[in-house]
Amino acid sequence: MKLLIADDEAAPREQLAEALAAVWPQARIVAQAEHGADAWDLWLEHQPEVCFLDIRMPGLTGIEVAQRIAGSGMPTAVVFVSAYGDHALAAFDAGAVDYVVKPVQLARLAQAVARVRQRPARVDAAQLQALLAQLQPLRPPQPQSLQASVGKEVRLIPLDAVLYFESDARYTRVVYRDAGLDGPQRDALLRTPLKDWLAQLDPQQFTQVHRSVIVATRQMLSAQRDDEGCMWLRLRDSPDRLPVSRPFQPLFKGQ
Amino acid sequence: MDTALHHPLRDGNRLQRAYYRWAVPYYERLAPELRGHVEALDIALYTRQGLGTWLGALGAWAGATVGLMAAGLSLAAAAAVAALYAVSASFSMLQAWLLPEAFLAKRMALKGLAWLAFGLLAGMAGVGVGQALRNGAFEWEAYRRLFDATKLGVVLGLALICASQILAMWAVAKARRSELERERAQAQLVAERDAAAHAATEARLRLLQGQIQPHFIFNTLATLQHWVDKGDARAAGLLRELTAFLRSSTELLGQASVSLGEEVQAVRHYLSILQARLGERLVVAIDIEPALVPQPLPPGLLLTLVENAVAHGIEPKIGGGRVRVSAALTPVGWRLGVEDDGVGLAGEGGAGVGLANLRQRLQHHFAGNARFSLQPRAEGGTRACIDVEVP
Repeated sequence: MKLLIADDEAAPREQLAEALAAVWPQARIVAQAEHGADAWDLWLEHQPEVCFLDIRMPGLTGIEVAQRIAGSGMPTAVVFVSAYGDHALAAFDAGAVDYVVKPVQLARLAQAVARVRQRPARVDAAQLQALLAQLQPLRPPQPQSLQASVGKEVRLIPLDAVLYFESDARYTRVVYRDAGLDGPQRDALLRTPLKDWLAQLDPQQFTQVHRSVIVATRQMLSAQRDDEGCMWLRLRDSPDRLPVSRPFQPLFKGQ
Repeated sequence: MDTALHHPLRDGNRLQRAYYRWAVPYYERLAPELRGHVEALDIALYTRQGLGTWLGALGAWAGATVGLMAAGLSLAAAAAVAALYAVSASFSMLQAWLLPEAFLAKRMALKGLAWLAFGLLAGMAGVGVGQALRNGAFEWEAYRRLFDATKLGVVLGLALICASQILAMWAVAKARRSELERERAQAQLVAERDAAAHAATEARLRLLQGQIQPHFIFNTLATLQHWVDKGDARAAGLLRELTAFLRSSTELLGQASVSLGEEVQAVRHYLSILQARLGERLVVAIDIEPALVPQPLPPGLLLTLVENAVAHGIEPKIGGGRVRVSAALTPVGWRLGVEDDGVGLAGEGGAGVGLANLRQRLQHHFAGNARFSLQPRAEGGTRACIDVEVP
């Protein structure tokens, strides 16, 4: 069994890891995330079966990460870890979403683990939506433009001109067109990793379709499956084809 | 009305009681403040102290009747006209006194004049019609003769008296209105002061419960627990800071006013705890002008601003940021500032409920000599400032 744990504070994260090792020695912690966007990225990378998510984290809240996991349709169980005060969680005590409080008590953690192992993994999207509405995560405002370095020059790229973002090692490559999308296609390098953009971009305007691709929603033209079962996305204003990985394929179910 | 109090009409003689029983349903339909006036007036009129008023009114009525008779009216006509006038005049005066707003409304004054003119014309027309009915036909000469010099004089005199009466009522209504406005302003001032005092008490209570947020405590305990379990040397320092923070903040919050120095001490403990938990994600700078240390402040104010900077600026930001707390002299007084380079204001600006409360407490504590502002910084993040003017 593969586990992922996420907490933005180091000590509680280590404590949780050690407690899990004690109550569930058969399981293996494959990733420890330091914030929400990191947790989502690591989930995409490792696709663990169980996630222990802190609720208040920078980037994405634990609830938003759980929402994305639920949207993928993959069989992953979520256990929230919270300090206190998230009263809304109490309603989910016996529901599909389990939670434990910090500092973690071994007995309570063992109980949550037992439940996760008995029950088929499922996360109720409606419950998560209700939770999220109550917690009202703080979102930094979406920037108007991006600052990208092209050679020695720093270029300002308006967000409207962006076609898509692509992960490029530790940086992010942004592909865009100037002049009301009539200009030539260009690209530039941003000094922030792609996963950190997740928290800054408006999810209505930008859609992630792959661990390393975020596309401007209004650029999405069509998705097609090839003979090997891979899905490819075609864009309105670019000849490029972008890969749609499995957790994102439910976005293009068709009717 | 408190039934336990003696009421001169309700507990008076049979006539007074009868009047009171008749009047109560009317009283009950009035606005409470108006009812007070009306009842006081009734008590003044229908008890012994009202006797003089009634005698005076009787005298005025008799005088007016005699005057009108001298002008050529018959006894009955003169008495009726004088009585009609006296009644209508006193009722309108009463209205001007009780409801100056309604009386002063532009249309009301116009309406009064229109009614006066209408009454005059209608009266004259009525006389014409009466004459025509009696004689079988309308004769202009006979009609004109009716208004000989004396009678015309009476009519015009009455009209003039009415006009001057309206003027007098207008003056009364105006004076009364300004008095009512003064009373209302006074009442509002008192209400505002009460609200500020109430907000201060409530804020202290909320601070006591909320400042020491369970979230903060349990997250800190989670770190502490881990360090204790591991025998980490940092545990002792964190425990000491947590104890010092809890002690200083609970002591602060019980007081009505604290010095900047005491408040900054609590803030230092708070930030050390967060630094222990967040590690490199939080960089702190505290820069307090030594001369300002004894300055008085409402308790918990600076702590609230620092907490907001951490909770809304630094904690939601991937990679964290810096918080700078400063107190400096300005040409007119001094300025308290809390800056962060975090994620910035999320739409709400300076209009949140917590901030309204903060402004109210500042207003209460500094009697209008302090201003609070919350602005985005050009370099990113947020700057909260309190500017205190020292008169």
